Amino acid sequence: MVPDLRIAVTCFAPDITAHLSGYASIISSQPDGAEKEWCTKLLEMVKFFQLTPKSDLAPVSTFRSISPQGKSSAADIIPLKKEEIDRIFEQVPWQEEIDMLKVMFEKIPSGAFRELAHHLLWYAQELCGDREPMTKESLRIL
Amino acid sequence: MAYRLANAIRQITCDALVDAIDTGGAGTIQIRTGSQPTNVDDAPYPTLLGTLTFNATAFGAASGTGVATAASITPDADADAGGTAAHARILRGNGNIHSDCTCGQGSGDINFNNNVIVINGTISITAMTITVPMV
Repeated sequence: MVPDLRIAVTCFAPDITAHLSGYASIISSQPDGAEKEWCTKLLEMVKFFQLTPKSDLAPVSTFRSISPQGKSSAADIIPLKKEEIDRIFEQVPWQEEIDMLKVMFEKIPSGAFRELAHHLLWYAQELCGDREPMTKESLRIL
Repeated sequence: MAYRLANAIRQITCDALVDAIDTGGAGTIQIRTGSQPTNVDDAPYPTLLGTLTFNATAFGAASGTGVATAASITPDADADAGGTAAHARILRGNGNIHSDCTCGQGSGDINFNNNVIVINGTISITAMTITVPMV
């Protein structure tokens, strides 16, 4: 008899826009290898995604935290438009590739390159789910 | 027929299980990379990604069928490091280990909608229950 635990969790990443140029120079300074190659691709994915305005579709649901009063927050889950999904299709990795990258990036030593790799990967995971990335800035305090 | 618990015992057991989190103050949930250690009491594996804090009374009273629902949980609004969440440790208020569990995306005890954690990001919980089963 093992107790059953059920927890639903969300991670909201900081918006990446202000970091893009800094990330590009850190990536370019890395030795050649699969990690550098993938981070370069993911950086291009984010830049390509940001070329168009945010989706104006209605939210499909709303995330609500069970935080204490004053710290409770909500964020809308907004789907991408079909045209946008089609437009970024070639840039966004498949889920199987993202799963492989999660393993690969865990092997990157601590430091700026590891942190940016996970920031980019978070965006890939959000876009692979065909939704507007739920950044920290999208949280509303209730 | 398997060994089974009466509902009243499930309720008592569940209350004892969740009340143990409150010992010594508010308990916490540590989100970590890597798989669960071999034994729950072993030293934690690699990277701590973030820590969420239970209410001083972490759970309300268990239901008649042994289900306890968490009270409010303070999010981690400034995640410690980037990484893929793979397991979590629940610590009692006195810092001792209460339990551990798996993290996943669409799976696992802790189910993330995106299990990639980003440094300085916010980790927040939408729902948490613990159930003591009949069998």
